[in-house]
Amino acid sequence: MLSKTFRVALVILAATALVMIARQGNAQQAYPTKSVQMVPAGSPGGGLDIHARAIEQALTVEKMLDKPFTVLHKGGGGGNLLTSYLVNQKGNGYVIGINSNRVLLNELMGTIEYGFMDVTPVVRLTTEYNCWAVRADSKYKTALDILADLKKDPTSVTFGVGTVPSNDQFNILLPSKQKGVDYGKVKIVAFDAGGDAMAKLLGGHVPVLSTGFSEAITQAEAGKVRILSVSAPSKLDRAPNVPCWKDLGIDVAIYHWRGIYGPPDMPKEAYDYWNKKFAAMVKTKTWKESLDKFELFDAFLTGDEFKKELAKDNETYRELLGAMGMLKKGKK
Amino acid sequence: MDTIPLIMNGFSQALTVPNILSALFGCFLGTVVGVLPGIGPSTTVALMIPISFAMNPATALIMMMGVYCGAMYGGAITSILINVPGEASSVMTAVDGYPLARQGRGGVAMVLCQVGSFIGGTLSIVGLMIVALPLAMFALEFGPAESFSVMFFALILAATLISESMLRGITALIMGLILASIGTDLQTGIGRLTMGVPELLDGIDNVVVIIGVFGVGEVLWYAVSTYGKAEATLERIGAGRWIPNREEWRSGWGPIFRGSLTGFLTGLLAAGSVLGSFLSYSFEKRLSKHPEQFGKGALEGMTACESANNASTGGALIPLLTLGIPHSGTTAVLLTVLTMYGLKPGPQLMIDQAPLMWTVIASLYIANVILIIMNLPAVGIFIRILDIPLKFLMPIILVFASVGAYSINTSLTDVVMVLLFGILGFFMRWSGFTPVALVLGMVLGERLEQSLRQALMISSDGALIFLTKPISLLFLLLTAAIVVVDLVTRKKGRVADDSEG
Repeated sequence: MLSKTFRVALVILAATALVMIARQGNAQQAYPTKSVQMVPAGSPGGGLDIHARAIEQALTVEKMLDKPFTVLHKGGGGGNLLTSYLVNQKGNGYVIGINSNRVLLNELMGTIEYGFMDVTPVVRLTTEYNCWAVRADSKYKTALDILADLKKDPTSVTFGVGTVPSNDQFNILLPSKQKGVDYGKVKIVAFDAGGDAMAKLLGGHVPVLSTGFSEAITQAEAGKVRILSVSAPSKLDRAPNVPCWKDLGIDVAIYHWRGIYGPPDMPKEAYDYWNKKFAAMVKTKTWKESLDKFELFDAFLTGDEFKKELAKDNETYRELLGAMGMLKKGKK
Repeated sequence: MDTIPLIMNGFSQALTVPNILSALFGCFLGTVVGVLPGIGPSTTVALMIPISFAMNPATALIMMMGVYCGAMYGGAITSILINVPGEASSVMTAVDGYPLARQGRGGVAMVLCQVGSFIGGTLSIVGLMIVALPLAMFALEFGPAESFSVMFFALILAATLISESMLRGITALIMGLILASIGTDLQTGIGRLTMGVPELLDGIDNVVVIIGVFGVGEVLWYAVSTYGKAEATLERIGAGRWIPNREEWRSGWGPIFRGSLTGFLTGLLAAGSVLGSFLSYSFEKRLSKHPEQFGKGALEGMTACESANNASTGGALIPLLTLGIPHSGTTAVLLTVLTMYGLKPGPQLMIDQAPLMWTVIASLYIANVILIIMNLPAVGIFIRILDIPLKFLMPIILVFASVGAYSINTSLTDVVMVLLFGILGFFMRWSGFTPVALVLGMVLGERLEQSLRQALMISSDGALIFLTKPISLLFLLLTAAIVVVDLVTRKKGRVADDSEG
């Protein structure tokens, strides 16, 4: 039979093994064990940087932050620098990036070989909406007047936007397409981002602007411009008299969203952790206050839903960019 | 609306102890940022955003205004002392400032630049207060066609002056224009001439080119030209005197006031501080009785240029404060800051937030006073740099340039590019090409091209838009007049030269 000492040793061994297993279980629960790098695909002060700050602030104030963030800015390359950075961090659970739909657009345009399938979409967080704005003294009273003119002659109205390709641009193309306009021919002029496009509208150099709602609303409230339509799925509280596209009988809603992306092959524990964490964060008071301040809207989607939306968006963009002749060759 | 009580109230708000301390800190930080090439005022203000959460809006905005003004003061110092302009708007300062330093008049140059900065900065705030609204309305008249004509005017005006040889000047200018076209095309979103380097999608930062062709180019030129020469071992520039004499003061006043006006107006036109500095330098050279000294150490062009880039701050704030429309990098970040405080920047800002806005305007005066008090004695310290023997100073410049390049985007690609542009700068010096024309083409090129294409897309009758818009037509006629005058005087000058020879 086994000696007493041996039996004692066996018990101790078993106990140790149990403790080890238990601790390992704990370790898996305990992601993150070190600080997480948050990488906005923009420079300090820009829209994506604001998201990083708002996330950090909400999680800190609401005492939900398990490990501190380090913030690294990867502005530039139209968001491509972030995408390549994430691709190089394959399998790393301690890096998350913040970017917009440029991840899709850049691949379609051929400025980068990686698309949204080459990184891990984690969650969609916020959205802005786009709108059509005209000067207060414009002859156009509704967006339908403009679309009617475009249908007769697609070059009859010139639009100003902040940049291309962008949701500002799709906010022109999609309604035009629905109304049977030859939308590939519509004249769209890009001005420098920021206030430049608005200055050109106020100065009467372009008749219509397709721009961010938050940029137009302060001008509208001061009586300088009129907003003809907004790309939201329903009317917005701040502008109850402005119709959305659906109110005008056009089945279009455009989300100028921002989301979180992880590196390819992001560990499941990290992916699950951030899905839960952000789902809880978007319900907090601090987060909602930040959204209000920056005229942002909640557009939370879990990773799985986000991925499905991205696949849908990708097909829409492919078609629109194709019609504009902006698609990379061989992508049709 | 009676503004006098608002202004008085603004000063009394701005002159509290915490606010003055925050202005002091902002001015100091701004000067440091201005001295260091690379990181600019807009990035610095953006990096201050998290700190500013802990402050009340007035204190934070005062600090940011200090940074904005301070950065413009600091830019002159490295341009003059070591030929490294930290930003495009100081390039013309280096063109004359560095030769002045080598003649032992670096201190004088710095003092005149500081005084010019102070007067330019202050006058532009007066302008901002008195004529902000009508000027903002006037600025809206500038569409793509008008912008193109103004840029074209500036380009021709500057280009016909810069080089002794027309052919070399134009070649360098075209090289600059080509460099400007690298990157994502605004109208199509497609990358041009990027050679598959993702960093190039944003184009090459002007500062990278400037630090390279000026600073690094100078270092390489020194290294090659002194190679193997024993007498060069302990050569140094020497600080020299730094108090301007009466004649130097007298030559400064005209450029300061003309430069201030040019800078203020161009700042207003969304053209930033760059256009103003090039234009005012060109004006001074044309007005001067001794234009041949420009580029070899004339005080006038340099003083005008520094006055202009400081005066652009007041002009650039006008569209932001009166219309809620930002244009230059720093005003765009300021818009974000205002939004962050829930101030809803827009056309109503000056009305809804009048007390705060007037406090900010008052703080601009205070910042300028602090800066001149802080920087004039500092000239005496900075000038000691010139006592360092060149063989030690030159490697320091190289380090300084590399660190500056890295700080722009924290990217090693920029450091490599600075060194490549340094080699280009060296060969330009060697073959008698002027780096200024290259930089001019580069900094004006992008806006020139974009406004041309925007105008043509908007126009219903093609290129006629440039002639049917009155402001545009005016600038095109001015451009034509300058070219004609230049051709005539050049011909005369050549005849005179021939007869002398």
